Amino acid sequence: MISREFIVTTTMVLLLFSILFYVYPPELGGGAVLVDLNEIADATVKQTTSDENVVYFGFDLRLGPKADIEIYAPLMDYLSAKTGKQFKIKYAETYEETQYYLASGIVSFAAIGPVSYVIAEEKYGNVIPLVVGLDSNGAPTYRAVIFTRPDSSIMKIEDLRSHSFAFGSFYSTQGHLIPRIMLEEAGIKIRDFKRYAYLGSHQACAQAVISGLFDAGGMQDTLAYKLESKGLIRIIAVSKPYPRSMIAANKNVDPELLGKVKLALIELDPLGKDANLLDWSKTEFSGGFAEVDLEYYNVYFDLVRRFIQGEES
Amino acid sequence: MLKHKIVFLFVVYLVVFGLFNVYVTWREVSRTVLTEVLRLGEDMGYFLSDSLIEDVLREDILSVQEKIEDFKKVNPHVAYVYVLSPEGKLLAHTFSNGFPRKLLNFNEPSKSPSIQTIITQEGRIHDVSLILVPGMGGELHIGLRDESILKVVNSAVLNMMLLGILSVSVGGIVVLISMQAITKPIKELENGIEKIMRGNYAHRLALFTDDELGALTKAFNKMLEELETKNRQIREYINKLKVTYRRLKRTMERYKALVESVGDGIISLSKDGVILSWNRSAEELTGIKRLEAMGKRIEEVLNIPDKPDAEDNLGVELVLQDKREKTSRRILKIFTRKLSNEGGEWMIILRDVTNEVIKDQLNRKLSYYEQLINVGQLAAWIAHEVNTPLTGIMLSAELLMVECKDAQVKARVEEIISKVETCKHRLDNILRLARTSYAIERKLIDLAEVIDDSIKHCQACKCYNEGIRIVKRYEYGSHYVFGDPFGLREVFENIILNAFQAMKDGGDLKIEIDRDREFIYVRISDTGIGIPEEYLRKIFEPFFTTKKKNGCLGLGLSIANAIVKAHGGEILVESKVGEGSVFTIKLPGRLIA
Repeated sequence: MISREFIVTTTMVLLLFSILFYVYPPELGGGAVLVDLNEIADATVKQTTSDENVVYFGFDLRLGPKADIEIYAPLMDYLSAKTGKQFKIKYAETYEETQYYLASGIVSFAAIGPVSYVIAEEKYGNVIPLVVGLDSNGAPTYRAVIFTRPDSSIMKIEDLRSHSFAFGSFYSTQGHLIPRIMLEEAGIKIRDFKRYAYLGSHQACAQAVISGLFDAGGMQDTLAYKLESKGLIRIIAVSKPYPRSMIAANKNVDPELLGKVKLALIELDPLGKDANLLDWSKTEFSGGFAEVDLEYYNVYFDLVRRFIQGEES
Repeated sequence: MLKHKIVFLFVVYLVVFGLFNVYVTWREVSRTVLTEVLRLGEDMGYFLSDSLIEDVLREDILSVQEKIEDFKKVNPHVAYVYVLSPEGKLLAHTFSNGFPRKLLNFNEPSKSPSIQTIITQEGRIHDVSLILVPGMGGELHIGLRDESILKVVNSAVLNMMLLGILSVSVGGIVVLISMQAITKPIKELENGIEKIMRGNYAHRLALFTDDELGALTKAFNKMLEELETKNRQIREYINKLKVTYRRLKRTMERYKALVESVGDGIISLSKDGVILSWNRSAEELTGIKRLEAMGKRIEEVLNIPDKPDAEDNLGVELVLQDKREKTSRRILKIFTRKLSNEGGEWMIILRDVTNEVIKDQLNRKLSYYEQLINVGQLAAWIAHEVNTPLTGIMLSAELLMVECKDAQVKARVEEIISKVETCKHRLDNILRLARTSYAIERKLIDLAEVIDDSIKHCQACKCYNEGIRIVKRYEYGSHYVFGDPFGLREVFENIILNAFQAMKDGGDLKIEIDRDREFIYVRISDTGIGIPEEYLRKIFEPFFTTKKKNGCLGLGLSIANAIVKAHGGEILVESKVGEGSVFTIKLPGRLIA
């Protein structure tokens, strides 16, 4: 005969342990997978299914790969949420690669400077500007500067003659084209320099001058003012305003998507609701985006032919 | 035993809750440690991926390989690292024997790092995966071992368990000793109770402690004292009861013998009339055995005229057929009496009064016959005394008849002679009745003529009135009998006169004659007042009359009956009060035709 106390005690113990195992399951994480480490893979590429929903986005390298990706990655998430498509960055090491990717449709959209747009349009004829970037004051223009070290004897552009000079990327508007115009306007040709070089980015250009590798350089105004405020450089000349960088699109992109992306970009409010989306101060569109006519960038065509394509040939 | 039960329950409690606590602690510590390790893995992953981004973008595989190997070297908990490019290409890994197939499409990260546990030959590993290049994709996987961490945790838990076991053991021993102290007085109490249960009420429990058990012992001892007193009182009471019982038993036996030995039947009944007792005399008087009667209702057993539901009832007679001698009857007198006990019971007494009743009846008959003899003797003397002068009258009348020539006188003399003959004849009849035998002279007579004579004679009487209609339904010369014409005329006259007297306000007198092979039936019916039922069986008795005022002797019908009986017949009578009577004179008759 089982006593009532025994039944009650057993029931209580079972109840207690049931609650215990419910709250603290014996296997941490649960659902462990068995993996045989000796079973070696015969392929090194992951099985992926081509996803028509993915839209690739390219960009002209400005601050360096990591810094640029940090800027564009949140934008990809924003556009994905707004359009229902999955936006992914397509990294290109050079401006030419970006121009090719955009013109050939490998990327549907790209954040590029006016030079890349002109070259891509001239070379492949398949690219349209979608929106223009605005500065923090809402102006669709930017400037370039010519700078030296703070302790340099160079005080004006004309003093650059026979000195060494650093540019950013060859295809950079602010890092090459506008400084070339400024030099040209001061009567200095690149052959007047002791030596010159294209260092690939504004940061590399700044570093080269600050470290003393070059006496002076040309770069974008935003970064230059920041460096100058820290006492790292001295700006000796500022250009007149030129149309800012843009988000361009391949002409064959579905118009509906084109419209959605344009609207999403114009709706961005870096000074308001989207202030925390990314570090806007590092971008060419710290004031957001605005719609743009095709003719807005016509000013660049002759300049590019003269200073960029002339050099290429 | 209680001691063992408490120790057992205590140990079970300690073991269960000890295990519970150890398990919870172990799981909680393991979880916390592992969560921290995995968070560290995530942080390491972000750090590593940060350093790898540019190499990956440039597809500098060599640099990536170097960096992840260095990373693995400086982190002993890292089991492996591998990197997949945004295009899904395996860029680098740290597996010395080649890249495991299963890990290629495994634990894909979404926006946040993903953790998946795997079981391998090298033990359990937690795979932490995160996106290599934000906005582009690619995967960085870091495998973290938890064995070394958990080993530390498990060791600590083991120590806790050992400590717990030691605590339980010591606790168990302490409880056992404590229980010994607690249960000893209880055991003593139990032994004491056993002794008392065996009848040793003088036993007292020893007082051990001043606590609750001590108080209980005191109370128990006090209870024992009271119990002993009560027990003594109960024994005395029982002895008294025994004496009373023996007396009562003797009285009961005496009363029972008394009831059984009386000649009267004594039956006791419940309030509802159910038989409770039935003595031997009741058996004999009713012929019903005690076992048959007991438990039944009295109405089912005896047909008692007055049920014992009223007040006391004395002397109701009950006539029972004697079961032993079916021809004889037994007359019982029933007395019912309500008993004066609480149950509202009744008693019935049956007394056999058969002999008394018979004796009474015989006495009454004897008296009657004595009266009859006296009347008969008187009648015989009167007849004798009157007969002699009548004979003289007769002789004188007959002489006058011879001597007288006047026809008118002769006719008157003839009437005198006729009336004297009638008187003589009637006197003879009285004499015959007195002699209790009736000799008849027999000659062949036509009943129709006799009846006609009788009617004629009766119509001359005073009791006849004009309202009486006489209906004759018989034929002449059809119904002959060998009989006494004077006797039969007397019979018919008697009956017809009675009918006339019954129809003082008029009515129908119907006379019809019928017959079968052996008998002739003369049916005389009237529409008079009728005869009450209680008189029907008495009307043929001598001196029975309802007309004493008219000087009627009450001999008519008894003589008629005697005459008919002397003819070998009988008189049958039917009557209803208010409707009339039918007298049927049945006579042996010969069919003459």
